[in-house]
Amino acid sequence: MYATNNCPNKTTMKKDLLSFLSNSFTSQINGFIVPGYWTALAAYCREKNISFEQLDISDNRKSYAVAIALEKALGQTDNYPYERKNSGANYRELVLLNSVDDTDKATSTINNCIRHLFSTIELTSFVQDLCDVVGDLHDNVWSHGKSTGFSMAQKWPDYDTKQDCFEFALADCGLGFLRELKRVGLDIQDDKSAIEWCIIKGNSSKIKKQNKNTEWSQRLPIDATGNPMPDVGQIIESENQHQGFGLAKLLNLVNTYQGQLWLASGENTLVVEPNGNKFFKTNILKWQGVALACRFNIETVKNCHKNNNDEATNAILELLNF
Amino acid sequence: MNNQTLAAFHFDESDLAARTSARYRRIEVEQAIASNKTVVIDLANVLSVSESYADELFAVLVKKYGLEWFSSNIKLQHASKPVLLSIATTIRNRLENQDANNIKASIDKIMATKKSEHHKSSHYGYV
Repeated sequence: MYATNNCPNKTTMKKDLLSFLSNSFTSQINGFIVPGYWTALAAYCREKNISFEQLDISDNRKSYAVAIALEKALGQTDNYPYERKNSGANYRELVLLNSVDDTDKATSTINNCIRHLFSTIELTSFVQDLCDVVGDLHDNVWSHGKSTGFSMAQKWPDYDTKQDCFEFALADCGLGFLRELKRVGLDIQDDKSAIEWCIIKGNSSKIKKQNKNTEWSQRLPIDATGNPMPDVGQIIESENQHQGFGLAKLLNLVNTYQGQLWLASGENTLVVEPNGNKFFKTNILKWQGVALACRFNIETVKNCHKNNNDEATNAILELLNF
Repeated sequence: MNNQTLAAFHFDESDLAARTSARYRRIEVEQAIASNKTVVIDLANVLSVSESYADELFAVLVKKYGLEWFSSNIKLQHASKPVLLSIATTIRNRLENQDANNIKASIDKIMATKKSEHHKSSHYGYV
């Protein structure tokens, strides 16, 4: 897919990235490249300083890459010569998550596309749940990954069934789960265990970090440049009260609407199938950061129903409404 | 509550996602309430709210000060049902150690008090 002219191991890197994108990430269907592929490619190229010109893409894919603004994603001039009339209608070009301040705007960009794609009343719950999850996943990029990420959404008709499919994907080359958990002192040794830990409801590296910072710790402001008490004072990185909802909610969404999920970090990818089966793949390319894609068959989604809320949630809802 | 001044908050963004942004809003809300103001949060423009955001802005306040305090000091306006549900769900998650029946009983009590106050203020000609 791409050539790295300045890289001594270009053949190996090219093969490994291709294997990761195609095998661990199931991102090509009958020659059609889905968002999981593009977001991971964009994140990887940006991280490795690979320019658009260095990508070895066939002409039709190259024009598509230009249409989804891959050049812009890689920090170059956007050379797409036309108005993107279908942007927001069938797809949304690569959305850059460049800083924590961009999170809400990026979420609106993707969610407006999702709301436009699925405006029928029978998809209302799905759209709402999906939009909420997109917000959480976007928030995770800077809250946990500390790195630039990309997201993308697209709808397309399945080649065989002609039924609409939809995929949301997000990729970053940040810390990844294992490094983030090790950073906060969790005794987790491999990527598979790190992924398993992060998808459990309520588990968050931020909670672990807060628990480590005892109430009586000497605190320093976040912009402190030197610590006069290296063994005592701690820079409190965040006063946020993380609950770690994002990934557990994503899995719940995938299970509720019988979707598919690929969640890659480090040496492993968690795969969830429409029937709920879960298994891990070993990545040929160790993915630095997190790359994920969730895919839904829209006809299937229409036939899925959510469980009712519990009594306490309904009572809180009533109170908020009062 | 009727003698207090109002502090109104609204959102330009249609989708609220970032926990960091929510934290800044929460601090503003807490400062307004500390200044003896009743906070009105207008969610008319909001189409979706991530649980990270809802948790940081709303559920953390419930965790810190309790449901009764939240209900007495903060009024949510023009929120769609899905947005309210996201907020309610995060509050429920923060109260996960409490039995559903206990939460419901507490809310019934708060609602009864509020209805009674509302009735009294109507009787004395307040709006």
